[in-house]
Amino acid sequence: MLIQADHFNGCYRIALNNASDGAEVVSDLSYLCGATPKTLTFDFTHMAAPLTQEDREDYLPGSFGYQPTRQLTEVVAAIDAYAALVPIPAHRLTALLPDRQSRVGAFLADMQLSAVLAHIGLVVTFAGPANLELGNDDTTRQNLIRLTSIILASDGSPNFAQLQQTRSRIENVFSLALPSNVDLASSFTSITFEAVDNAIEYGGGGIIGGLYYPRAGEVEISLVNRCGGFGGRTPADELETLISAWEGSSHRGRGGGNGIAELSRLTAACFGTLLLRNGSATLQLLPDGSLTASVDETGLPTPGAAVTILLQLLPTHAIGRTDALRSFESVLEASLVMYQRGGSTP
Amino acid sequence: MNMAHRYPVLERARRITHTPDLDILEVRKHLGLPLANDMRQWLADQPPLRGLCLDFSGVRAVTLSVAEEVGPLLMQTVAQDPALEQRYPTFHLRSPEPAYTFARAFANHSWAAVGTIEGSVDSMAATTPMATLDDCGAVVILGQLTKQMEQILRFAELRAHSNAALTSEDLIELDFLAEVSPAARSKRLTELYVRRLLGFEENPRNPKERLFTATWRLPAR
Repeated sequence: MLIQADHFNGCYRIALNNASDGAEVVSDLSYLCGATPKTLTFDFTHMAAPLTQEDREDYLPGSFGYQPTRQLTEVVAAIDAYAALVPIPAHRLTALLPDRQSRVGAFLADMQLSAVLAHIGLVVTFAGPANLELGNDDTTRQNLIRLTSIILASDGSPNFAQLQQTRSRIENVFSLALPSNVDLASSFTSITFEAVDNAIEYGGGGIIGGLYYPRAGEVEISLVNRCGGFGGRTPADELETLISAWEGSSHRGRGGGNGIAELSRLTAACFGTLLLRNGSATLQLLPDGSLTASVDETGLPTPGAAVTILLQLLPTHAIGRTDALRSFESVLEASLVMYQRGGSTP
Repeated sequence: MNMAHRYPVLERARRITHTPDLDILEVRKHLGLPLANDMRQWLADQPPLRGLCLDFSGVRAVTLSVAEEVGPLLMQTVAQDPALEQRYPTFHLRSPEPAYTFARAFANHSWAAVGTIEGSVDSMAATTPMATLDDCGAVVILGQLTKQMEQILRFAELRAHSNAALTSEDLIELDFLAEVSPAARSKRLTELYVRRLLGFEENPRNPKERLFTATWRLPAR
């Protein structure tokens, strides 16, 4: 939300909280159209501690409390796209982040937010959180993938060493979450990288981030880019194109089309949720197998594409072993065996 | 493994990506495609009627998109390119994850190829175990194989044990081919050659007859 617009001095401030997303940032920036900001500050101190909170007592398969990396990667990708357009250093872009002493600040620091923003070209400063921190954090949470810009060389090729490093982190987490099946962990990691492959080939790179909650057995990975996408000129077109890609009916010369198909199969096997965004259109595959579609009719273009995958694996840390958990353990195990044998999920 | 004609996949992939510690094959456009082109070139340079090993030793994992490029799409090119006639690649896969991914890639494309796998293949989807070789483990067919194709390959393997080649005439011993025309039997063998699951040479005593051998029984040197 644009909370300061000092036209006289050219100072502007956009506050970002837990609910902020890419569309909101684009909307805020549209107010600056025609203005000549001397300083534009992205103020992250309005993010609150519950951003990192996932400490429910009940084990509810297929139910996700928070999806913080999805919002965060969308916001950072929107800032990145804007920074690429404005003539720096004519305009000074800054970011104000909550300091490490706060829980939310520690989380954002662990996610390498300041490093990514600095790499984009923002001057980063720190302050205390804007709001009192309430509630408890999940101390078992692991920052599965710190915010990472997948940067491509001029010929479009990626940095393979960076990809190897990111992949190792994901694989380690899947190994923790699937301790009895190392091969499956490796297979899951490869599928996640189908999305990265698509971002490299069609989206000019992107920003990836991920969290893992061992206590609840949840894995969340988000990948966002601000160019490319599936195509379409209007939000309705974008939705139609996204549905075509989902159905596997988009035209391709030879091969390809593995990303969405593989991610969908994996999501279904793990009773997870898959969110796909193409511009302003979003598709959501839910744990019950249903599909929902939505379109943001903001009147402003939301370029690029995004994918978020949320998987429900088994808790590795002590949590009350309820009847629901015991039942789910056997159902998930059967589903994963079937997945590995190449069959359809129950 | 004891094969004279060996393409070291990981070494070539590391060279393409300029990444000396690379052990995962990913990114179709910047690794899958150049690697497939390099493999095609290498295959064309190899002698005919020999077992040619695409050696994936050291490769820890491969994405489906890359497996597609260097698996079924490469093998479909092998089937169509006259320069690659009589070239018989086999996929040597040491760890289960790449084997699983390649099997899926071939099955998705309704294609098949010969693979050798070290380790258990019992519950692996889209793989059909065919034999066990001393120097490179289990021989499997990766991908889609009909029951009838499988029977012909097992028959070829059986004949190889008695050092005999397989001809279309021999196929009448199989129930489902006993009553069909010679052309139809010959067509079955050609289909398996196209996928490089069987190799053949002309019978020196009867040039009209082709002598087939299971690909994994072709000489390695």
